[in-house]
Amino acid sequence: MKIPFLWYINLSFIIVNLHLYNHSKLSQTLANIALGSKVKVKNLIVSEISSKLLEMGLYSGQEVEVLFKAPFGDPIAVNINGYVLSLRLNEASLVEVI
Amino acid sequence: MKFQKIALIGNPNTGKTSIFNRLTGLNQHVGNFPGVTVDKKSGKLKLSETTVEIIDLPGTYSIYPRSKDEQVVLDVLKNKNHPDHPEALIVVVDASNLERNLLLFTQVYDLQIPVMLVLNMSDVAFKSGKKFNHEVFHSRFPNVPVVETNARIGTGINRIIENIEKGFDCEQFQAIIPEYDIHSESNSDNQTLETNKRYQFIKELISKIILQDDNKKQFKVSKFDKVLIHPVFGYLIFASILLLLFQLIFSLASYPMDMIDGVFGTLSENIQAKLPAGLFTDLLSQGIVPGLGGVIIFIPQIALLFLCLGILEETGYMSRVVFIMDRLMRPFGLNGKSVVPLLSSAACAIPGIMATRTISNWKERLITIMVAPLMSCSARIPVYTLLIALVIPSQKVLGFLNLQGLVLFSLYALGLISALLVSLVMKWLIKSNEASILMLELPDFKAPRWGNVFISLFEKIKIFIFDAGKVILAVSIILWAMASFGPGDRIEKAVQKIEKPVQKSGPQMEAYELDVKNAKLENSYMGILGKTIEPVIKPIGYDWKIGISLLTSFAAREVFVGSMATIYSVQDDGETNLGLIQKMRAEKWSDGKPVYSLAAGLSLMVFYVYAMQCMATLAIVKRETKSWKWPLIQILYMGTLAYFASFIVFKLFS
Ligand SMILES: Nc1nc2c(ncn2[C@@H]2O[C@H](COP(=O)(O)OP(=O)(O)O)[C@@H](O)[C@H]2O)c(=O)[nH]1
Ligand SMILES: [Mg+2]
Repeated sequence: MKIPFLWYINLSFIIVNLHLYNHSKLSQTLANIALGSKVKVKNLIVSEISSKLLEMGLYSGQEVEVLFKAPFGDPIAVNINGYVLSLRLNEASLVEVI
Repeated sequence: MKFQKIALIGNPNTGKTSIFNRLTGLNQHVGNFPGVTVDKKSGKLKLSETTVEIIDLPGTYSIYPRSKDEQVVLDVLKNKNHPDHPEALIVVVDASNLERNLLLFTQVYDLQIPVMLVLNMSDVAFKSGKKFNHEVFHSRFPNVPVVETNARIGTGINRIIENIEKGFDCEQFQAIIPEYDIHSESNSDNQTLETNKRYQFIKELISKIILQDDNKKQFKVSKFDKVLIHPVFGYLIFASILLLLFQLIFSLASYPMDMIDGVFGTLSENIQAKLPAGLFTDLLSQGIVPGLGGVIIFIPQIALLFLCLGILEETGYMSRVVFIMDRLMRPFGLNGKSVVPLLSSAACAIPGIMATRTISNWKERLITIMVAPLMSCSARIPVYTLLIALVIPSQKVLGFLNLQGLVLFSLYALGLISALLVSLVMKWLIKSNEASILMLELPDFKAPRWGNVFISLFEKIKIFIFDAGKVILAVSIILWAMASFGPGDRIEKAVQKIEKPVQKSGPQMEAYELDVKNAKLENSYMGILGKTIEPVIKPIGYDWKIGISLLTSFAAREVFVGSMATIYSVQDDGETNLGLIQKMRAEKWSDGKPVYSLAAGLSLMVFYVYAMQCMATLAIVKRETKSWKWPLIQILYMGTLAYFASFIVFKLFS
């Protein structure tokens, strides 16, 4: 049986959308913010350590700035309200930012 | 209301210990929280009429625990019947960073325990243009005394004491989260919800109680950090600091160590000479006094190492080391915080293992403790030196490398590589449900406060002497007894067989005394045991003489050399030991082959890389893990590794 032409378009749309979605998700965590840029915490991805992140001051709306990165780019150090927190990339990737 | 027990609580690095030290001085000791492996620091504060016990609780960001240390805080506060449950709390906060710090304050406030709020680091807050409005805070928390302090120079400490003297309560308590139930700890969704509410409250509160001078708010990255975490300079600087540190320890520690050695040696001799001969005198002069000396001898190294580490910690450099090393250590199941303990173990495993306290994740801490003794410590150097001189020719390889030096370097490298590989294995074997997290605060750089450095140094030495010292003393007495007694009159008979010289002094008499010493050791239980294990150690190339020395050097690795000297009836000159080397070279198996072949020598070196030949380390592992389970596992795994590695090396080179 042939798959109707429109389905193809539909399918490719879904793929593109998925791709965009993943991409946007990736580019919007604290793990891939450029050095020196200031961002705001949008949301914490639910995980074992999300309450820990919260306790360190990373609540939604908090302003953070990436101050420096360790050699190999991991861990990173961020300025949260005047104090410097260092965290691993996998920890930072649980912090969605805008 | 008069308090008897007050606890200090606060985030890490807010100055709790500094305040604790100010309040209690040297009037403090380290004990145990019942049933857990976490240390409890407590001390006495003298008031005009009474004394109060002050407890320095482990630093925590929240009352909801993420590690064993933090669990203790919750247990102590939640359970009113806990023996360490305090009547009141002093919440220490970093006044320059109130938002995050107040979270813990709001949590413990809601527990309805009387609290005092200490705004420490008031100097830093002042510099960043923050001013605290006491009236507004007081109107919301009428029963909470607030004190601004600078624990570095001691301002405000008197006010803390005044408030303790006066007492405080929670009569006009007004919950922040009404019907707050700490038991929701298991439910992380509720926790998140609750924490968010608390932040809401804190933000509102801060907007009213903090006057911020915006001109001073600027946050700048310190110039130091640009260099200290630089991908090239960062590591170079760390390596240089380490080099300096080791240089310092090796060059400085040897003086007091030689002195201690000398003093205890003379003491033994004097006791032997002055007291009437007999069992008690022998026990005192050969068992107890050398045993005590064996404890004290470690103090210079422990003190020097913790002095250096204390300075690095106080200045804030240590957390930068953790920051640049974390990525490299992670694949091995370790943490950036494991680096300093492991490298310290290259001087001596004892301070190295004691330095693992900063690792909050229990699994990572345990792995670090378990592999630390694989790092080649300074006690192995005399053994390596003797064996290398014995079997490795002094020649150049590739035209410029000294072969002997190369072998020594390889032994160190073998230790380090093995430590990492064993960590990797343990990472899979040890189960844990504690997540491995780094999340650490990088404090500002500052000059060290010497009071803090010395108090913690003092505390470490005290722990070593009183907790590990007991075990070391007991084991050294057992080792002494095994090496001085034999079954029946075996020793006496053997001694009688040796011909006594006519002259009572001179070289003949010296030779006679050495022979007697040898006969005593060979016929003691230790000697017999050494002979009994010969079939076991023959496959790795050792005869019973080496067997005896392996057993005696359980006291400390370097004892191997002295023991060999006794067995070969030569004086241990403590340096080149040429006489000993000559005799060892001449030693033959019954079939005429030399005992100390290249294969046997290398096998023995490798044995010393792996074997857990140090009772002092075992004693400190017991102290730090609070059970005999881990030191036993350690001695078994290291012994097994030693045996098989030596076996392979022996077969490869035979
Ligand atoms: N500038 C400043 N530094 C302080 C103050 N109190 C403590 N420190 C420093 O802060 C660091 C951490 O202090 P410590 O007492 O170990 O904190 P703890 O982790 O809460 O026990 C040390 O380097 C102290 O010298 C203070 O009031 N002002
Ligand atoms: Mg402390």
